[in-house]
Amino acid sequence: MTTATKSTTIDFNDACLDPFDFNTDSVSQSDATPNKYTGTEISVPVSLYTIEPVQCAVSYSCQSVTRTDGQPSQVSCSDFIVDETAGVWSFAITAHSDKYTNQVWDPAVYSITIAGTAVKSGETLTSSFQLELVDPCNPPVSVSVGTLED
Amino acid sequence: MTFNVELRNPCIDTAYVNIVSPLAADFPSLDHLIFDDGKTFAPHGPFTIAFSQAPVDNTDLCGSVQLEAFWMVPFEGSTIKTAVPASNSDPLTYNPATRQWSADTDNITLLENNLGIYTILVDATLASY
Repeated sequence: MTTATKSTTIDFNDACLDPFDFNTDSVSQSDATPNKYTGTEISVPVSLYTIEPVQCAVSYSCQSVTRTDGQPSQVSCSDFIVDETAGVWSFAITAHSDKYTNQVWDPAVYSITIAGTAVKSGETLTSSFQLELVDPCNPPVSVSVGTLED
Repeated sequence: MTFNVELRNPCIDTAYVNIVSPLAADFPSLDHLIFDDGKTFAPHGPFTIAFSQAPVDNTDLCGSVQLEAFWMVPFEGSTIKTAVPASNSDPLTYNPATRQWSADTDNITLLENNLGIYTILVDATLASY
């Protein structure tokens, strides 16, 4: 029987090792709702970065926390819980009242820098959101005059 | 006086007719990015019919060459010669009419075998035999 066979190879490669595109061009992180040390969790969803192919995973983490007024920040990345559930990433922090009364976290506007890393290529881009901790005593909720005594 | 004449079919005898594979340069290796859009590669070189007892006036004497594509799929420590469909297949498609391979896949597990490198091949036979 007259036959012939010719062989070669096909090399499948992972596009995520060198994504076609990875950017934050259309990303705008939402700031956290200002909080008066209420003790309720402040959760900020992460606006996801653009990556192509879209199947490539991006991991988000806290890179740094600074104060917008230039003062040293008492809040640090370790105070945030970074969570991912079904592809939705969020940063969460809880400001309990003792953080205020014990002067652990000063009332201020904090800027949190998010690092988004393309998992397989290792490329990292940053974005940020702000968290304002509001002084609950400025102004106080109420001020009442005490009983006058002679 | 009578005698018998036996007419033999040269198309089934490799002493007379052979299929010649394309040169390696015309049958190049391919590469494809998983998750990328589907891609159709340039046609590989043709398989041709060579007549050992040239000249042959009728070069269509044996009819056309039929092509069938396969890829070697790892299975339990070995590989299985697996046919490549002619249309819309993941990860590979082969169009024998145009002699073109196409690749389109999001199957990342392809990288688990031999770093994602697979042998692909084309078998050529005479369609009429």
